[in-house]
Amino acid sequence: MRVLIADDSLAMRMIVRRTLRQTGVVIDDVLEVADAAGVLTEMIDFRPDLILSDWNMPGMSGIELLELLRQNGDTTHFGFVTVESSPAMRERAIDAGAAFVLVKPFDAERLGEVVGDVAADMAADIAVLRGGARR
Amino acid sequence: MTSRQLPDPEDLRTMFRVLLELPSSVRKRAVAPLPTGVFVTARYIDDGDVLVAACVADLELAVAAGSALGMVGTPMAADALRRGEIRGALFDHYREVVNVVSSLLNGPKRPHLRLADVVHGVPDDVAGLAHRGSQRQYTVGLGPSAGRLLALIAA
Repeated sequence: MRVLIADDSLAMRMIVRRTLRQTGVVIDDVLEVADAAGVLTEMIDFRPDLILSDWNMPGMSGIELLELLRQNGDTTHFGFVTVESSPAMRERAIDAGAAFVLVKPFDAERLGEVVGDVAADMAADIAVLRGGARR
Repeated sequence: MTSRQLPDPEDLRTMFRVLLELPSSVRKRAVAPLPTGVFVTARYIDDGDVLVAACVADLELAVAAGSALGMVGTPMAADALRRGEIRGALFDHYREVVNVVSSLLNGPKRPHLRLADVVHGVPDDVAGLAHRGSQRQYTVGLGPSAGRLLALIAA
């Protein structure tokens, strides 16, 4: 799994990267960007399987980024790592296509659960594609 | 919708422990005028951009928390304490700590707020919060360091 971390806090990006290593989920590559513009660039260059994004970032917010991606037909797995925890914001995120909303602070167990779910979804998608190819 | 609430000491302790991966302690202390010294203030606003909460930390606590989050070496922390100012990467790291504090100030049935800015000193509008809301003071221990934190919230 290729993971793109988007957060304007360098320290938080380091923490997410470090905690990802502790989850036990197989991660092939991790890249960090500081804002939504960086994500849009790396959608082409890095081609992530999962975007872990903050909600509040300078410029385009995380939710605006997700909505833009989905409007353009991009279905990359997207999860929020944020301090935003209200039911309304969570509902907006899920409605927009987020796989999860993980509230800071978090530990490896909680991150492992949500990223593990995405890994399982990816494995299921691959199995379907292979099954289709055999038919 | 319920009213805003000041952070519970145990919730604060858990937040520091999980975020900073440090043995942490948080105790309520009697509310008293802040002593002379250097303070760093985080201001939180509601969805109408109105100041509704603040966290005022003494420099020792801000430096300890920022250092722990960014895994910054002792020389940078000591330099900040000597200068009486937190800036650069250390400031950014502390800003993220108080950003995470907003997750304790928000709640499922509470009006939404978010971090607006972090400044040195205690601005007048923050001092005014004490008169139109509630406040709580804490003694915070982070590993070998300790400091004072004042949380204020509008009624």
